[in-house]
Amino acid sequence: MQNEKDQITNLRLEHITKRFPGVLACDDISLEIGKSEVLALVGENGAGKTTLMNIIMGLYQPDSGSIFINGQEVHLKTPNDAFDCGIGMVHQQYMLVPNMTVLENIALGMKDCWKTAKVDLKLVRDRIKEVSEKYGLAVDPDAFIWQLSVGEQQRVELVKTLCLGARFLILDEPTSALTPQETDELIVLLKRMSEELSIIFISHKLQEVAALSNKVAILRHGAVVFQGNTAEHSTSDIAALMTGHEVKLPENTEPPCQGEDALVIKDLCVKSDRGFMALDHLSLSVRNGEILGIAGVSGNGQRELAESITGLRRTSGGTITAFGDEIQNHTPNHIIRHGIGYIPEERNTEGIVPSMSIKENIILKDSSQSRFCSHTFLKQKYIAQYAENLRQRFDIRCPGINTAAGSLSGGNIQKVILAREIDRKPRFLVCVYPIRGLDLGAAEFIHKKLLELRKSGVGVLLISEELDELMNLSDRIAVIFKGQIQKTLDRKDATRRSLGILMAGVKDEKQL
Amino acid sequence: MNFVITVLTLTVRFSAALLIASLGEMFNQRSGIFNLGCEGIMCMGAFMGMLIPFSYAGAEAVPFYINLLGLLGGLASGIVLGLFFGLIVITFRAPQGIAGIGLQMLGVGIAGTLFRSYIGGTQSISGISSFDIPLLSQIPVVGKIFFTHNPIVYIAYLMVPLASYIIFKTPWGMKVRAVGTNPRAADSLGINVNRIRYQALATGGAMAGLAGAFLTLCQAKMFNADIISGRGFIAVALVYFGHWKPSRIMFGAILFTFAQTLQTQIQIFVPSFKYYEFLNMLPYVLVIAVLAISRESNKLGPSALGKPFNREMRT
Amino acid sequence: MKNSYKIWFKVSVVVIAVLSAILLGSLLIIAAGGNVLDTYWIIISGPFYSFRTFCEVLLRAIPLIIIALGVSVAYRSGIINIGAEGQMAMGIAAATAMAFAVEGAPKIVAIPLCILAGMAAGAVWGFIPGLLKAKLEVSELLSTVMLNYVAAQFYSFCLRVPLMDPAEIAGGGTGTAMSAKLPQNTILSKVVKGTVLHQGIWIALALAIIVYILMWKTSAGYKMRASGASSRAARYGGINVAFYLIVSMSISGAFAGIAGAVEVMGTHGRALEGITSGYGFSGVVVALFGALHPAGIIPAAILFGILLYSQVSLQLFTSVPPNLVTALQGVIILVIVSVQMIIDNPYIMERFRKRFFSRTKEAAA
Repeated sequence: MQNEKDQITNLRLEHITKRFPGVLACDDISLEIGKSEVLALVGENGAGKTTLMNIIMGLYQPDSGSIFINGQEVHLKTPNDAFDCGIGMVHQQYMLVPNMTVLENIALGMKDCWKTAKVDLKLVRDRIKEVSEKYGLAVDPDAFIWQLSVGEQQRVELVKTLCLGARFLILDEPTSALTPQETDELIVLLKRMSEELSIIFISHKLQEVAALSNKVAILRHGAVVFQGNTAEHSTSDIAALMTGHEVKLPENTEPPCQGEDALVIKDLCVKSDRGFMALDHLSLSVRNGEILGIAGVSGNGQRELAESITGLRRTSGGTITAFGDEIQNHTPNHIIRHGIGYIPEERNTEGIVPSMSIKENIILKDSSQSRFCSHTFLKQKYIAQYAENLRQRFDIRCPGINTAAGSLSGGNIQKVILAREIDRKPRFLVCVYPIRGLDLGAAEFIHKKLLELRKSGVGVLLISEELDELMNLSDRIAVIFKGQIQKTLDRKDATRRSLGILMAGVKDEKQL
Repeated sequence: MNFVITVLTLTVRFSAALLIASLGEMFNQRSGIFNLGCEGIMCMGAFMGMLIPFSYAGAEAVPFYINLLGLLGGLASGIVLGLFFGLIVITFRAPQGIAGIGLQMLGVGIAGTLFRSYIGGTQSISGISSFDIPLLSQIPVVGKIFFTHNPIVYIAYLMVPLASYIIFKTPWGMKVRAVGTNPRAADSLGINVNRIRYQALATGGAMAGLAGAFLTLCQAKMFNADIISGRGFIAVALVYFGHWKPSRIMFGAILFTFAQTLQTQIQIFVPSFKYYEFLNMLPYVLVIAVLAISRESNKLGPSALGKPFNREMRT
Repeated sequence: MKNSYKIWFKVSVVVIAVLSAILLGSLLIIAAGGNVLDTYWIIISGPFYSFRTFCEVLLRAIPLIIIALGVSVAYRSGIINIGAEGQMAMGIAAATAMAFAVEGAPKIVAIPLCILAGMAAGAVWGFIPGLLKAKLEVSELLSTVMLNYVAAQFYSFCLRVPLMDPAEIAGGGTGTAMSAKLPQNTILSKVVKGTVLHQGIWIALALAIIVYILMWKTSAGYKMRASGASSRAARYGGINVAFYLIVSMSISGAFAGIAGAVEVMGTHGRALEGITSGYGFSGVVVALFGALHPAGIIPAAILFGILLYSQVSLQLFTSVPPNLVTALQGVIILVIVSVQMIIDNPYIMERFRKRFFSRTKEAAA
């Protein structure tokens, strides 16, 4: 608390670069933020936003570049250094210990309450009271964290950061887990706080960016691609900059198809891992030979939707009907046999067994089917031939089919998954973020394959955040928000702007 | 009546080793480290508890401070092994279960080797004897059960509130709980996760070593390589059973020791009973049953148990 | 070579690991008052003194191979079986009981029946922790250890009451707890007359082939390996992970049971106290040392056979106690698991590259 009086009037990042093995997370980033400013840091997943903020917090060390506070260079080696400078951060995954009370969680960071033999909880209690009164943030100091709702936990995080003396706040996707009401409250609160503090907040909800920030910076692939004043740019411009790829990818030019219903979902309710309703009476339908795109900001129920269709997550209400049979809560194996293919979001940990060879990964779903197996014995020769054939047809670049799948690049891993899923001849395919993080060549290849699949009469549910991908491929695009379908648009009606607005949770454009 | 009093008295006395060891293991697990090598550390501690008084005076009575030195020797050997385990599972991030087995074999092996070369065969020591606390031990029934033990037994029981205080009230205990439950949170507040875990392993190791030394000095008054006979593993299981809380762990230790004492005393009091092996099994079956039923979603336990911490590993 | 630093990294990690294991062993030998070089020499050369001593090594390798095969099946399926000790004891008890039940039957029937009995008993003892893990999430590390003690008690009981050698109590008194000699028709004959090596070695080798075929040639083995390598991906692939967990643990127990049966029918000829001593844990070490593959487990088991046999020669020729071998096994486990983690850690590798290879790389660029 020795610097209590010093205001942070200026924080400047210069040429920050940070690499992880195999990934360039931050690429020569320079940013500046002044007194009482609110900077919105916008970008897709994996754009490097969180890494950058962790560097400011002293959690990661940049490989090069420097940080200046009030014009003086600082070296932030540990979070303690950042606290001493008055910087505090509310992480996206709340940094709270669930089996401790609010009081203890805050005491954990307050070194001045650590007496030799005892934690001086009274001191903490007083500090919490002081902060809550000042900012109107009510928390129950004696509640255990696990008893609190997500919104309450976030309030604890804010109080904690303020109790530790933060005069500069970093908020990493503060609204990603909040209900609309909680979000509104938070925005009001942050606006009030921004009169005294500077704030950086990470978001990809453009509505909030417009409501709260006065400056905006857009990150893509670890680099700043745009900086400016929020007021001077429309949300749709920002959306375009955030997700835009300028390169042409294959397009779906066929007329919309009129096939039979392949997959019909009615009033589906599913709980998330955290226990709240991730899908809330969601309904949709996909025809044979149709690509239905699901657009939405991640965390609005996409994962739960894909997992409940494929039997990996239990549903708590509603029905999923595929080709006339209800399949909700059946085993994954039953659903695979029913002809539903799945290209999962986490290709490295879920789509493949990383330590197994390409050949072995190809048969993951069919190891006891007569195609690959006779009388419990695997048909090794045939499997090898088959895998070799797929390797050529799907252009999987690898030393050989006995290479461990986990050692391949992302694009090639995705091709292994795609080869397996498509060549199993599914009747329906669920496809989640298929080109996220891939280079353009691989993306183009994957899109081509999806279009071929469509042409052969297979229905595809395509979940993506990339608007270009959705607009290129889909026959119809449904926008998911808070576990419900906001609206379903035909391809011809879908524009970047209309989708962006729906994704931000606004049904009626006039609200903007 | 005599039978009941004997069983209860011995339960109180014999539960001390298990109690100390499982309280130590609680510190390990609270910090997120699953130390299955407790058995090996206890064995090493037991050996030190034998070695020091024996090399001073063999089976003859030794001054109390020598016995105390034996206890401290056990404690020190526990710290060394605990920190060594830390090197393997914290710094090298090796899987804790299998590494624990390695530590167990290492501890038992070293103790056995050194025992054979420095002591040779079965030898006894005078050890620390029990004494009756004046007045209190005169109380009928209760006096015999509670007040006729050696000082270490009382210390063991005093450790229960002490451990409780340390883990729940002191800054260090708070940090231990935080790194064992949400190491990222602790890290984000500038707490050095691995350092706290090393400290917890040293504490847990010290207590396991002390528990081992207690076994030789206060209980068996001799040493052999099988002296621990699974107490280390049971200590680990008791921590689960006790939901990482000292008072519940004490209850578990007493329950287990009671089952074991009961079984040995039945053999003594009812020599005609033929099926005593089945009684011997009971404590172990009890542990399994308890593990199976105490599976409730443990919101209060260290949820990062067994997971190495790596700040830069993205989730 | 763009990636030559990776190879250098791995080689140096392994070399450092082997050196530190030898160093730790040496320290212990010195502490025990032995001569380091002599001790290591006796451990290594002891078995090669004569053909008979080498057979002693192979004799010890038999149960090690069988148990390690079982452990590897479970380990590859994602569950660590440290309960082989207990499963083996149950196998011995069951095989012994069966041996007396089939007294007089032809050898070709009696021996398989005894082995089957041992296998079944071991399988049950593996099934329990498998089920507890799959359904109730009980840590297999704890449940198998507890079941070891339960099995040990049950085994003692069997030796003392139902299987007790009548000759031991004929003269009154309690006698030594052990079974009578097994009937001749259930004894595995020696491979070479005049040595201790019995036909169990063929059983062990056959089981190695069976495990290889099961794990690498059949769809069930494929599914077990997939479940163990990534339970998440296996579930995604429609594999019933919990089911294969139980199956693999039962197989693992069955193998330990067979090891028990073979040990009693080949080596000892009667059920005694202490037959299982240490084989359960050593089996885990052998499985890891043999890279969880039959082709690695057989040589690893022979190596550990040498180590176990050295307990005898150490006692004969040095002052170093045989318990040293247990400690060495502990060191070996710790070294293996650490090396695996260090080799797979990209951050440490990166640091290694920066420290030793950055200059050459700059020069190349």
